[in-house]
Amino acid sequence: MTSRETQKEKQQKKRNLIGALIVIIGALCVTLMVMILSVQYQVTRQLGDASKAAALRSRHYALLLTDGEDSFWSRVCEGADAQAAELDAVVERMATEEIGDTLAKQLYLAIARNVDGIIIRPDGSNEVSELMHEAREKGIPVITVMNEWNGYPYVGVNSYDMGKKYGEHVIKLAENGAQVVMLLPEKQGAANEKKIFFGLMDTLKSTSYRLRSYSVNLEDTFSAELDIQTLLNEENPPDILICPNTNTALSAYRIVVDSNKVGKVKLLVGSVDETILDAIDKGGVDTAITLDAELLGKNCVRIMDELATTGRTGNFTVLELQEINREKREGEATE
Amino acid sequence: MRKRMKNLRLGQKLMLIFGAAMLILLLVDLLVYSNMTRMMGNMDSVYEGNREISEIVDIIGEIRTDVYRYLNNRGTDELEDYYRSVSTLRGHMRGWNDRPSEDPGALEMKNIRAIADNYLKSTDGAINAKRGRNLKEYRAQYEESEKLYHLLTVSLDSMNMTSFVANSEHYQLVSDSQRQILWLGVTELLLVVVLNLLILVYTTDRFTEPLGRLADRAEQVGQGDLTLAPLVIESGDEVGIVSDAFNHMVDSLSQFIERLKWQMEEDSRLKQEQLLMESHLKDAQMGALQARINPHFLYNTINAGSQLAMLEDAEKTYIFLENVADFFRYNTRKIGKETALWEEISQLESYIYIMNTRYAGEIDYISDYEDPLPNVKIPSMVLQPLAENAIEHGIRGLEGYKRLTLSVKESEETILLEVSDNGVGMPKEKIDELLAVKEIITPTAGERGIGLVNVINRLRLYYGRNDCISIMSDGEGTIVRIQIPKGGTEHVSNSIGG
Repeated sequence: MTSRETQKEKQQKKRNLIGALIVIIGALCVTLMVMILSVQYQVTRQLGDASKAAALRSRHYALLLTDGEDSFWSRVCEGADAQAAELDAVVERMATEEIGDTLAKQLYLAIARNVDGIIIRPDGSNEVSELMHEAREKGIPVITVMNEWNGYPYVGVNSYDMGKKYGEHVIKLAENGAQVVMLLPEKQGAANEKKIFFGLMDTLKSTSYRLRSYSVNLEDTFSAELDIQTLLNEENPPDILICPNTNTALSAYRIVVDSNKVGKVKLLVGSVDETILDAIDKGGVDTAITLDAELLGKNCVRIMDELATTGRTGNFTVLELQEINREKREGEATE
Repeated sequence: MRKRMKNLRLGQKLMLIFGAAMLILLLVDLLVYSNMTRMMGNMDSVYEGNREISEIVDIIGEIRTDVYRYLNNRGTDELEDYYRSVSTLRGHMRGWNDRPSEDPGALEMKNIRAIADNYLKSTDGAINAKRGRNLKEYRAQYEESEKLYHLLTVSLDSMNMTSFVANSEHYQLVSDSQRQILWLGVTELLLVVVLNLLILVYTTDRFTEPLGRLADRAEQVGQGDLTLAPLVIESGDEVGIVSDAFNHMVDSLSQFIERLKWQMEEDSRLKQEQLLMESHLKDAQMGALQARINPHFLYNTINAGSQLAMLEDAEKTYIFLENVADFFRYNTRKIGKETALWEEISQLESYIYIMNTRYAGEIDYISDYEDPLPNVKIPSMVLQPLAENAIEHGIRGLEGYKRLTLSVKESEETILLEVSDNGVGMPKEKIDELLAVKEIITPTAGERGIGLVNVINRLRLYYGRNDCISIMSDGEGTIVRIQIPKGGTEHVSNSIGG
């Protein structure tokens, strides 16, 4: 091979190497360019999503709750949101989440916000009652949920019937003479729970069951658990514990498990969530007598919208109660 | 496009490539710069909402102060301040959403706007009640406005905080992205610079490659190698033009060298022919010299003899000696020169007379030509050797009648000379041998005078053609035929006439 050919071969190799480098670096440049544009696009998209105008609705309803963290009420809100979306409305959940915050303040705020309707679970206070009246005077329709109040349209359960259901289950679960305790929120109002208690009391009045109520501080979880623990540590602890409220039910279940009293203390609860359902499956909770929370939320919004748009609606909308126990759960699972 | 690119000038190509490289760099730079600018813009606008909320809080505070001052003083200045602040607040609020929305932020705006409206209603109510001196009403409205004021500021603070948290996240996002884009951009720029350099190296290499090939080829041509295939012209730039011109130059050079080579070969051939002719001439001269032995002495001697014969009235001797003298005179004067046809025939006839005298008139000479003879030049010493050859090898040993004929025939283009005899003839092999021989053959001992081969070759060289002489024999007699072109000879030089 001549030196010229060798030189040509070297030249060709060098050219091939440069060509390959051009392709590789070109590809890298394009990749980097795409990455830069991608980063820019991502930022623009995220900022655009943040500033993008959300779908506007025609009506604005306020759903006022006292115990906003309750999972039962969370499902109620989900149902309300779903129904509101169908009716071209938006439901704003206003809960007394902060210490010192009151339902009255929330109600005042809702009125000041010029909402198109208020769904409220009244606490029975005069202040709330006056504000409900003021709202009505200002043309803001008001309906009540789960707590009947002064002839305002109501959506919920018949609390007295619910109490009777609890009574029927007590009779099934325990023999005469058993001690039955119903947990009541330690706050003003709680008319709903009281009606439940009356229904329960009427059912058991001709029996020898020892029925009593027990107040629980629901301001925070620790207080509730402390109160329940105190109850269970009494000299005569309850044989059956009735917890109509979700928070009291969860606290009671935890304390029963912690105190190793599963089976000794039978729990009847008024609402369900994943934990309660799991407890039912494990036998920690005997029965839940409740209603479909999402259906409740949907009905609230439907009645509210009817009232806001037509000015008329039924005054009393009662939903059916559901019983959930281990046998039913197992039956559903096998189906 | 590719063809157009190929036809561009080298300078244009380089400008195009450099321009493209600069353009790529500029575009990438612009892209990075625009992205950075957009990011800066995003960062600037992130907290715009918070600034506006703060301004609104300040304005609401001013309204509150204005209301309080008016309620205390009932002054027009306070009222003007109040309305100015209210106008400013409404201006700010005009851009805020006032419809229900599923977006919490937009819903919060709607709520705040509603509270602000209610607040302004209550402040207006308080001021109007004060102006109407309705103490109870203005007090109630003022208290309502205070409650709404607190609600409004709390709501605005809450919104400000929510917005600030969200904006901080956006700021962080934008800041991170900006940093990311900065690094990516710097890397991209560096890579593009490297890429541009590589492209420039590659393209300039491609552009100058034909130049390198041209240089290589020029070197090879410089070393005398003209057999290489022509350069492939790939472009229409200066290199292509020069390569094309180089191909033409090499082609022309090759043709020139071929021509030169042919010319040299031709010259060499001619020179060789000339040398051959000169050699033949020398042979002829040698033969003549051998035959003559001092022709001048013989001529003067024979001339003296002829005068003596005339004085003694010996007429036949006188004629014989005159012919011998003419024969030698011709040999002396014409050897190596051209001569007229009639002189050559005269020489031939002198020779035959001499030979007839020697052989007692046995040879019947027949001359077949017309006077005057054509005025053409032929090489000297051509016919006499033919006659001598016919006598010596054809009719000398013949018993009985011996004939020698010379005929001269003229056509439009040629003059035909024939020397024929009725002798023993010549075998075909001998004829072919004589006509084929081209070298100089030195006469052997048996051969006298200038040989037939010498005559053949001289005539061929003189006329430049092989068919100027032919020999025919059918076993009885021999005919030697010479064709002389009428329009002149094709010979190269006059000095080779024989």
